Amino acid sequence: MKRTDAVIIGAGLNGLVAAARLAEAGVNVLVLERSGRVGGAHASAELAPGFKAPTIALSNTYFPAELIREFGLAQRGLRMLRREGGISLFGDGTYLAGYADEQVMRREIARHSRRDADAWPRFTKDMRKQAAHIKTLLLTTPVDPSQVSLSAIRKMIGRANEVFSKSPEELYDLTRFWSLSVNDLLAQYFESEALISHLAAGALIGHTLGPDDPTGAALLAPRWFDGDEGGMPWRTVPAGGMQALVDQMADIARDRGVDIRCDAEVTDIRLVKSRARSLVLADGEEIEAAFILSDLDAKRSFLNLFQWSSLPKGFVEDIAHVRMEGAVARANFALKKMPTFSQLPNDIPALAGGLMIGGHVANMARAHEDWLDHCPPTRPMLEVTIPTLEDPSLAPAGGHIFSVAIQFVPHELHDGVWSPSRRKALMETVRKMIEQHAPDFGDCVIAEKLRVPSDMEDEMGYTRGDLSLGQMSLDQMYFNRPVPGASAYQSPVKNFYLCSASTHPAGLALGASGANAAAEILSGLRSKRS
Amino acid sequence: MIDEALQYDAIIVGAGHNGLVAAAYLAKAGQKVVVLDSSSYIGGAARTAEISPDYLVSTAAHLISAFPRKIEKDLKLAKHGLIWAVRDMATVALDLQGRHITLTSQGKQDTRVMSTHEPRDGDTWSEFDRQISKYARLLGRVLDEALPDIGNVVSAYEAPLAALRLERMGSADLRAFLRVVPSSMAALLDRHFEGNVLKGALALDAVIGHHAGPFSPGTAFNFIYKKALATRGQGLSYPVGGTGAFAEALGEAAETMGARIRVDSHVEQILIEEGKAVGVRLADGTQFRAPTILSSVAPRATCLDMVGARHFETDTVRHLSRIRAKGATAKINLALEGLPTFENFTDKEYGARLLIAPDVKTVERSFIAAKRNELPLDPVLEMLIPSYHDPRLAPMGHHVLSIIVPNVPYEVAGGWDARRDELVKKVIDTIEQYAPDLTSKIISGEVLTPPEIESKFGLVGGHWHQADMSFDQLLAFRPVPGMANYASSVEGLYFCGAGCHPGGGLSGLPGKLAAETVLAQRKSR
Repeated sequence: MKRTDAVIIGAGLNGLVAAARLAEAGVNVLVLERSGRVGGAHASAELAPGFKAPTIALSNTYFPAELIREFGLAQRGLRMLRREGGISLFGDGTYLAGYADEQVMRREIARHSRRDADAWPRFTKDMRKQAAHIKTLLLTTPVDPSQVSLSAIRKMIGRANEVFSKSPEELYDLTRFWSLSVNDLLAQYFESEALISHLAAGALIGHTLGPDDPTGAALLAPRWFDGDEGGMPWRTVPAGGMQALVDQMADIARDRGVDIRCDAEVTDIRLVKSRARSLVLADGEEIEAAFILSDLDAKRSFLNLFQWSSLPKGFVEDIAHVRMEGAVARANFALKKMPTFSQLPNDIPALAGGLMIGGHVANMARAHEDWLDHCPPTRPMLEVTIPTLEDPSLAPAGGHIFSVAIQFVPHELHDGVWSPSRRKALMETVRKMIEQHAPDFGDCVIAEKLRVPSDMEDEMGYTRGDLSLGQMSLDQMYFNRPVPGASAYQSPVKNFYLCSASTHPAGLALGASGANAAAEILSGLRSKRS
Repeated sequence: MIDEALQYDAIIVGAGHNGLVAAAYLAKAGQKVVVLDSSSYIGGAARTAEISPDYLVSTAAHLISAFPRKIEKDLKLAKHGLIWAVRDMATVALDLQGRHITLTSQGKQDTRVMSTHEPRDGDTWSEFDRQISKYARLLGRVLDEALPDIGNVVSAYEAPLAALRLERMGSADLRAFLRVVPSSMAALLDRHFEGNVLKGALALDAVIGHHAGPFSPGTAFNFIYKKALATRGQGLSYPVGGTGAFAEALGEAAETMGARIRVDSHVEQILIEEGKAVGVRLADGTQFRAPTILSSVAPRATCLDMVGARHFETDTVRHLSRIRAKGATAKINLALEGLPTFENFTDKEYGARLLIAPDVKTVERSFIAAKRNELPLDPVLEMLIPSYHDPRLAPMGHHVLSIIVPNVPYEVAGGWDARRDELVKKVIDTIEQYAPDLTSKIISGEVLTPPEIESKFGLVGGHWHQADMSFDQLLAFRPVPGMANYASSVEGLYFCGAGCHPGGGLSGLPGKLAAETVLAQRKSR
């Protein structure tokens, strides 16, 4: 039987980051990937000859600068680009564009409301502050309050008291930020429906909360992770798409001695005295390992790889109750040329940041309510990214890719599955919504591909098509992620760890779950040695 | 010159139950107090009136769940006519198949019927109940004390910390608690139960009176908060003569202790001189003077309409003007010539609080409808037949049915005049699914839409709690940060209504705590 120090199941970005971190510390690592390629959701695929499109991953992602430095990604030639702008198109012919520059942004807002232009700096200041708070937690293991002593809690409270007694407003701001809905929080700053809708759509994409759901406001802050100049923050994206980042991480891991094996599906984990001891592959091979890390979601990790009877009963139930539910479908279009957006000025630079076509907040709420009822969306929110604007090499000369996240799309419909005719109807809806703003869009399309949440489950193994690997609502975040008592990447099974986005910090930062899980294992090893 | 007779130690604006409680406590401590109310009766939303001649009903609020025994004793309410017709009233979750689930208010729960719906539910009930009761007791400990102001708000957590130890919250309990607090009620229920009727009823209990659906995060906390408030009271209770009789007893107690109550006295202006509240002016020009004014009217209206925004700092005005009060409710009261025949009811069920909420989704849909300014397709309901316990409300053998319809929009698409009958029809149709002969028993009825509740009871937006009871509008943030200890930023002006801590429900606690704060500050001066 083959033996190794650590096996990582799944070569997604988190799995690769964990592998690279462990290997750096001298651990022998084997990565097993079910599919034929690394990258998971971030892999690209050829849509039509010469057109390379991201398959399913969302575009509103953040890759921590700390990890770029740690792995020397810049030195290896990975270029990170600033993606600025972003435009919301509304059905009444109006639009709102995002700009990184504060003055330009405020002028843009003033077209909709002068009062809001004045409120903008107060809003960005608050968002920047909350984003900074959250950012400090991304690359740390959550503190489990049930493991903290009463006196330590008292000390923490004492410290908080000092801060808050100096500026009592802070605590109020914090409470509102973590408890209000997106809509309610924005309404406390702004009056313009266009601006509120633009910000709300950006916050809600990829999530399962509606604009009126309490606790949603916190989703506004991650937009401010990457940095800003007082206007709309930019996103930092790798040149060549996420595939380029994934390829680099795989190379780094291999350089550090990690063995990455594709087409290797793990079917079973064997325990000896409630410790994870070995894995069994689909072809029957058994591999023994001192540590096993899973980059799969929590349900797939525990409910598929283990005999349930070998896990504590309460734990199995807890995992089964983790809410996972896909809400995003992706439609990719290969275009022979850029369609003409009739309501936008020519060559508007904000187009590089993508388009939001979702109407106003009330419409988003309806789309969300339809999703709760498992109805096909009639007026979904569309987030159109155009990766070819920053990287023309992804398509033949003159061609473009429209990669459209469609939200809210249920995993299954109340009256059955996503049949071919239902899919056709959904694509028709998407096409019509885009054509409302760019009438020649349909004529430009030369190839298209739709993936609904159930496809993401079938092709990539995301339970219920949930790209967040567990809904990102407060009761499933931080020390509650994936379930209370297992937030330090460990599990009731000794030597078995979770390193996927089913753990803290979820989709808030790419690679962070993998980095944190590896750090936990390494610190365990160190304390054992000493 | 101000008439000597109109000079007081304290003026209380609004003779709702909280205003009366505050008046009684202040008068008891020797203060010369006057209570002024714009309507022609006392009690506010605690009121008993005729639907039609000979049929009496609690017009708005119809049950009391959080009124502390302590207040009852302090104010000697029994002596002033308060008689409980029923305490520890049970709740019945109605089932279309007649397998109604009775939930006891106190004491051991019989889980046999639950188990006929879903075998597992009977087993998991006790664990659910144990957990929720534990959290409720934990939270309950901070509800009958005045909170320190936001500057020291963190020290407010000392109390729950101590309670944590008292409740012996082990790490497992604490973990569960920290997950429940931000959860939606739907998520909490999914973790424990499978039966639709049970889940629907509990979901309704969590969101009734709130602008939220069971799928809204934070509604599990609403449920716990409601239970926590109930730990301060004496079980779900109904007073003889309805909630109006309860208010009458409070009024009599206050007057006996020396307070003066003046109805038909609409306070238009709270008078400010040199930054201090010094009195009030009625709509007819009469002025009352006192160094202390307590307002049981919603804080926003108190500050912005009666005092005037210019007397507050910009931040305070901003906080006040964004207080959310969207959770509106309608009330329908029916006079009946006999008990409607609910399928499979024994005598006992007729005396319970009845909930119609067939499943969680139906509760959520009623909220979605309200959000869209629409009427729910299938309304969810809380009902009571008070005449069952209190025969004097109706002629012999006749009854009254009191129905609360939550999740009704303040402004309905098309206007209330056009749609009032539609609401009534929907509600009656819904009840008839369970009691098919209801219509044949109806003699007369009245409906109060949210705007009518607003105009009749002075409740802004038709909101029974004056402001939504959400995280950011509770505890140290109720009504707004900086004013959570009942004192406003204007010297001499205090709040004593449901808009301040610990919020709505006929608990009397805001009134009591406000009076105690006033007395403590007077002593320290």
